[in-house]
Amino acid sequence: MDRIRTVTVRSPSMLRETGAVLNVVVQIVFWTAVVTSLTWNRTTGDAAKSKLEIDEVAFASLAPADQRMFRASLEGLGEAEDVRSRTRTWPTVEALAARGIPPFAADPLDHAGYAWRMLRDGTLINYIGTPAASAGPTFVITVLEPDPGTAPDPQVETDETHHRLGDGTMLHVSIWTGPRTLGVAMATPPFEDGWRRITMLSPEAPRT
Amino acid sequence: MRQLTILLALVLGVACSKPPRDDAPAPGSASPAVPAAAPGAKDPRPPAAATPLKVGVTLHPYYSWVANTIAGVPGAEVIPVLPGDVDAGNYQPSPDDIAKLAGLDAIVINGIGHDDFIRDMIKASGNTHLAVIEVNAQTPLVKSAHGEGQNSHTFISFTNAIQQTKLIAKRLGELRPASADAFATNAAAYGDRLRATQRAVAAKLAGAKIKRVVTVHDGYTYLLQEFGIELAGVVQPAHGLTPSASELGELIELMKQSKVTVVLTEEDFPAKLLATVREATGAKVYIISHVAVGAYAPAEFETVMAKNADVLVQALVTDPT
Repeated sequence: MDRIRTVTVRSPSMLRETGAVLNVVVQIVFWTAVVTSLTWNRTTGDAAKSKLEIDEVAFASLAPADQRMFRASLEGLGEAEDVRSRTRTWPTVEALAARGIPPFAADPLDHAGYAWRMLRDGTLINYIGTPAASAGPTFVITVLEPDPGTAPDPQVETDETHHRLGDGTMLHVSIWTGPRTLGVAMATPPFEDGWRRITMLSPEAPRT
Repeated sequence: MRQLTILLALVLGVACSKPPRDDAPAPGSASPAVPAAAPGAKDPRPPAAATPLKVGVTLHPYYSWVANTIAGVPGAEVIPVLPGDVDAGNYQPSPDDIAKLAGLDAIVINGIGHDDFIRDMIKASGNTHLAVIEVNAQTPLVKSAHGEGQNSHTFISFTNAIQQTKLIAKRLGELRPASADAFATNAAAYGDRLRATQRAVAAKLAGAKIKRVVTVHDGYTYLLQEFGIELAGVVQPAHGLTPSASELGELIELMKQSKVTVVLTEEDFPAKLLATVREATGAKVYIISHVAVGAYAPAEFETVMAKNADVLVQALVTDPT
């Protein structure tokens, strides 16, 4: 036969009950602070990491004249890609200028006097815009085609550095700003010489 | 309030709308979804080139761009989602407008804040086949005049219009490959016309006496930048908001210090506030438009932008001489 056990249950005193509640509150506040702090650090860390690489400069941070040149360069790159899609040949600066395509065409609002030329090395194409007498930065539009015979990868998505031609060919493209002109075609002008790839920040900010 | 409106519209709009088209191509699909006919059977379907392609738009400029891109292509149609007399900034979704989305194959949207209402409307429409074309996907964005946000008025720009029309043509070509060349050719011709206008205006503005302005609305940064004009300040603290007395006072002080003598305003901005600015600074006021309301028309964007360009030439070149 089991023994009968008697247990007396008493309410805690006012002091002990208050202490217990305070303890719970402190625990909640403490651990919430810990979790929030960790989340905050991780979020800001990711954001900072995702913003810019060391050899990049944000379009939004450029001077208005340089923003204008970048926008014109994007337009010119798009037109050059169209010609390449139709004719399988990259157009010359002169051909684009003759059609009035910026930034290659004469620009009455260009106070820096940019002169454009094209360099080519195999599958690498550069359009280089150099200002007269260091009146502004040099701009370089780089295009790198895949090696001949490389099958297009339909899985690769287009973005600011990947443009797809009409025939499916995926190009690697970029626009750079730097202190001086280039003598030879380059896919990645050297960071240590002051070259920066201009990047467009993702449109996440709210409308104002 | 907008959430409630959309919820209500969901119930009413979907009940009143047609079901999604079975033959609508899926987003990004390589070809229109026209199934092959059985051998020997008489095919009642229209030829692929005449397959309907209904393209919705949220903003007036997009209507013009799409209309010019699809011009002459059989079966292609552009459909504005909003009534013409409603500015997207003041828009409240309606059941009728949501019903329009149900029958679309694609929709062209701003996607960076100018038409945020559209995503809930698309969900409410039940159209799961809709291809959403975000025209700003490859557009560099400048900062807003106030705050750290990005300026969503990319459409008030020749350069952006040319490139975004080209993007639309490309996306529509992916939806209907049989018409891809026609879309690309149309977009290129439209771009050439816009570029010619831009070039002519640039030539006139090269001799501008004044190169710094204030605008009432923060919608002209892209356009002014294309013409090498500095934006010294913006009157409205945010889209559609009237500035407080202190904000107006700060702007007037800025205009005096920077010797700004031109203000570009819009027709609906309060005349009394403008009079205050004019009296305090002696600046001249000119009216331009951000192509936000009016009858939808293929030529609307070109017409309004040409007028805007004429106003700039008058304000910065003709009148100061």
